[in-house]
Amino acid sequence: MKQISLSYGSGGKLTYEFITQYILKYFSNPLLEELLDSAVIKKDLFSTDRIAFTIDGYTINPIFFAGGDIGKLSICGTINDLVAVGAEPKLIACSLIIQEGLEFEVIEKVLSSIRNVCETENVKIVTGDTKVVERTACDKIFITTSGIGIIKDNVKLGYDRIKPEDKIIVTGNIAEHGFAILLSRGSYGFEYDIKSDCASLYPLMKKIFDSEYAVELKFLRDATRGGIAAVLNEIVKQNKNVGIELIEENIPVSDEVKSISDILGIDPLYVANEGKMVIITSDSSAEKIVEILTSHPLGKNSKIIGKVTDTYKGKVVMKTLYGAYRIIDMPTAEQLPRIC
Amino acid sequence: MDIIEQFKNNKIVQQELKKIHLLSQKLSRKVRIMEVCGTHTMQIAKFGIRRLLPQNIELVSGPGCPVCVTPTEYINKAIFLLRKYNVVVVTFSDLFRVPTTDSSLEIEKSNGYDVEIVYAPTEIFDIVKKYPKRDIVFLSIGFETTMPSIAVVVKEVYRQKLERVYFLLGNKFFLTALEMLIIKSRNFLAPAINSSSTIDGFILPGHLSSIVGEKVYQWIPNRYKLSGVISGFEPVDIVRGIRLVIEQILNCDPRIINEYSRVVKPEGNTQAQKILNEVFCSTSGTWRGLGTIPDSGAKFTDLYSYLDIEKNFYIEKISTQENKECQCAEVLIGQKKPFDCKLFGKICTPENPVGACMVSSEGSCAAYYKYELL
Repeated sequence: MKQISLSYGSGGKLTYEFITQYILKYFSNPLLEELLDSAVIKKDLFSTDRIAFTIDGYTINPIFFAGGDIGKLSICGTINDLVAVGAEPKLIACSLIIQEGLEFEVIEKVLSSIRNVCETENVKIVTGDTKVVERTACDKIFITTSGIGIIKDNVKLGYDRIKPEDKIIVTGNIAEHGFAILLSRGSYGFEYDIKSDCASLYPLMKKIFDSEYAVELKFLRDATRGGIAAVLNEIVKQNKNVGIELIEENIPVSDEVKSISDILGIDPLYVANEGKMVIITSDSSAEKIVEILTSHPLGKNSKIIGKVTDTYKGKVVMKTLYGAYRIIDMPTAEQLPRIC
Repeated sequence: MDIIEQFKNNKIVQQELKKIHLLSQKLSRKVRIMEVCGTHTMQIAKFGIRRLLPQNIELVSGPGCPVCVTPTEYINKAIFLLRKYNVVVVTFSDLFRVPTTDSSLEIEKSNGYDVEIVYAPTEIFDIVKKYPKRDIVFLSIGFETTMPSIAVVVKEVYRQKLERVYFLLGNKFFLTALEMLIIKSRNFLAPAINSSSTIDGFILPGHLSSIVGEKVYQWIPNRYKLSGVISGFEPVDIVRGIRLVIEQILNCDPRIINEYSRVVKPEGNTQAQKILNEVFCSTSGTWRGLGTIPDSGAKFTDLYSYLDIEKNFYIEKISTQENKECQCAEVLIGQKKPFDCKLFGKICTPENPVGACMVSSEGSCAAYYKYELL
């Protein structure tokens, strides 16, 4: 089986061959095909005041997992980062760092998965880079993607907009990505069927951005590493005038995740998602927003999980199923290495 | 309702709590119940049970977290083996981040030494395949709960005549320590016996009891007139356990009750006990917080003693000075609460633990820090 070698990253003949035979095979658009050092973008692409610009690196192990792969993840993750500031994702830059010896078949599987997401989400890869490194320098493939999006005029988000009585929504069952990755690594001796929730959240959030409730949104955050516990703790650290109160029985968790988290002793609140948005919105808009979210397949399990309060300033607390309050602290150490 | 849901059921929890509140009115003084097992401590904190109890019923946490009671010297030995002999260290994840004075297994791994984390002891056989030409050392810690599954692996290493697989023994017999704990806490309180600060009863560990059974606890009521309830880990189990202890105190009828009979059989798991006794026997054991307790440590029986790393490699003894302000010893025997320690939450946190109880995810300080700092 044909494998990639260091020469493909040398800048010479083989690099050119890789770009023309592999990269352009999967990604072709006028901006990329010019093969310039930078993509040259006309300013009229951006008709709004504000542009979102983001970058994220993807190093997940294993690179193929139930519900996705590193290619899909690297595009969805960057799209979701753009969506979390209220943007419509437009252009992506993509850098591949590939371990020598990786089979071309694997590389093509990843590229084709990137292409699929780009096509359905209508985003374009307009520039990129490929490096091939020695075996010990990287594990199979690392992908870095940077994205540009256009922020909708009617969406104004920020920590300072969060006020007591605002509601907190999560767009579906939590912790599926983290558990899918964990289970794909070890042999735990039990049967399970948990898939990563890896998905682009733009189609779902577009419905809110386009609605009359867009102006009511206060804050969005893609709840990846550290799970919703980390996201909510970051919020109360940035805006110390508020606290957050969760209601345990409202937090959407699938039965399967519940039983596995019981067995492994890992709290789903701390486990990564790759397709769940945490939304903070005004009290009056919350139920309407949940109504819109639940009408879309990506948001069918959306729930109001709690509210912003001025009682527990700087803290996240949760009313447990049994009526007692307890603190939800920031996760202290990574429970699982390289999950994204 | 499936069996697990039945033990998470909020209605039943509330009914039990109501009974506890009614019973508590009959108590003439404050009672203290110790949950000796780290998993119970964590569950109690996680469900917020402490806050649902009447003020005259106090839950205190005991020494039932195997990582917490593992002395720093043990980790020092593992680090010495990595640095001096470049062995592959195989460990449960809880030990991975435990700090010594200047390192941890996590730091050693980031420095390039081979530390492999396993979920089950049997995974060691995959690691043997991964490092065919290296010495492999399994960090063998845990109470009677974990010892049988380690014993199975030890027997298999023996049967397969695997060379270069060794065990660093840090296992402990919990039952021996439990009695020492009672004695210590009574001595500690000698002037104040029968006052409000003695331990009045126990929530006994569910997992451990599934191995050892219920009969082995008879000395608790017989010798010390204390009651104990073997309890499961769901909220219904825990509040029911508390209610049963209170009832015994009120009736002056100390006994051992098995609330977790769906898992714990009176005689325990005799097969597991048999394997445990084939492979391990008792020796003196050093506990973080409790000191050295005769017969509470584990060593291999003669047939397997050649697998003990300390019989094969010279290991330098590196002792660690523990912080004098640290109150783990008192916390481990239920004499102090984590909040009573000056270091708690300020200098000693899960990211930078000073003492044993903050180290492990099942330690009482870690549980209080994580869930109870409202």
